Amino acid sequence: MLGCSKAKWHGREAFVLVNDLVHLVTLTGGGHIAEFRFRERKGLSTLNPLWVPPWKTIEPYHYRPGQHAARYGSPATGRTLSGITGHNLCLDFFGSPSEEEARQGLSIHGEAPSLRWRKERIGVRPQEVSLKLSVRLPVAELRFERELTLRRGESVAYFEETVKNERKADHFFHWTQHVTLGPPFLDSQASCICVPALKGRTYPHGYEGKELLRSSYDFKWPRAPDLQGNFVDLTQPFIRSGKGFVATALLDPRREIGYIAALNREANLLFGYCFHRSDFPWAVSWEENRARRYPPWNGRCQVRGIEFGSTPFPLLRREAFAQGPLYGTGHFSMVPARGSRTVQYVSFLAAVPEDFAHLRGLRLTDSEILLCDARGRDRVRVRASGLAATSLAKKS
Amino acid sequence: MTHQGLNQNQAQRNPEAQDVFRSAEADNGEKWLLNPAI
Repeated sequence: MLGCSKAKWHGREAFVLVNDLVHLVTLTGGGHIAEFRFRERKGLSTLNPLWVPPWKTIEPYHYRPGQHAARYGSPATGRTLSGITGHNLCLDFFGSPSEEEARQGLSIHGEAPSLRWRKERIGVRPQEVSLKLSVRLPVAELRFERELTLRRGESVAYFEETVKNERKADHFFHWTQHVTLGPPFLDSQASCICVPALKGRTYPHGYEGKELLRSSYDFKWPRAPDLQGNFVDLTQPFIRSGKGFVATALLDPRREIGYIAALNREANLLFGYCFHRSDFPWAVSWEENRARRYPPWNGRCQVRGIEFGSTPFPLLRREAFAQGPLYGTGHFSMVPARGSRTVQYVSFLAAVPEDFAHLRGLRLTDSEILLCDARGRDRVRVRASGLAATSLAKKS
Repeated sequence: MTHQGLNQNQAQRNPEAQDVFRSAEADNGEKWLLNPAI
């Protein structure tokens, strides 16, 4: 079985890609990846690792302040939050708009999460199915295309994304894959976060008085300092209810391939992404654990973001550029005048043995994603025959 | 419009960051940030 069809997801316009193993849902409202999970099959968990907000989302391009601000927040955040779910794209800027930008209608993480994306094409071939969506960002004057591909018999989604600059000048911008995970996949006891980072820094601006971590503090990943000076293991989700945090981590510069992953040991399910570290050198952790008591959060939201991208912190763009590089590592992307830039990465689901405790390493070949834990190298093999046609193979 | 006390020192060190701390009144009168980080 191999196919792609238009569908409804929680009342939203969506496309569903399926093969014999997995099912992936992407939304046209904001382009979010809403679901990626195994299909019903003996011995495999069908949990969707991606976060689905506890509030009812809408098509974000239907957000109107007078009608929706009370439920989702003012336009600077509410426009994006009205439609957010799962894996979101932050493009042009990562973080909040300035007050002036907000007055022009911009919302958190840029235009892409609140615009309607268009279907460019569906391709069905004997071994794979693909869907290409695109969106034009009128303020940034960027055009964005994302092609998603599933191959027969594989639990891997192949991403190819292109940013095209419509301006007659080089453009410097932020490009972050804002992957969010939530319950029931993410659980404080059964789950852990796996990121091959060396060091990190906590967010400079706390967390609205509900911060778990000390601000602007360098730490050795994953042990970050809390306000009392104790260390918190950031690989564990949802440590303290009523608290939240943002922290960045530098992905290991010795690796050409970066990855992020999360494991649920009860479901024996590992979910992750692999990408070129040169494209996305940063992994930002964001956790909201019933801290925010105002709409749309309302004190009931548990979500962990593992946001891999070009940029170390979600800040106002003017602040992010003024801060400059962190740890000698770049903090933005560039696309030349009238030029384009393409990245490739993959997302995968893996059924792991019951005693698989933590992902210690990962490598890619032409046809497999090989996972290791403390018990051994290449312990789990995920078939990924499409890697051969990408720039990712044999780079790890 | 006020600045959140906890972050006042940081805002003073970096005036360009001050927008981040601007707060607004929610319907229930509770103060909340205009630009929360996610």
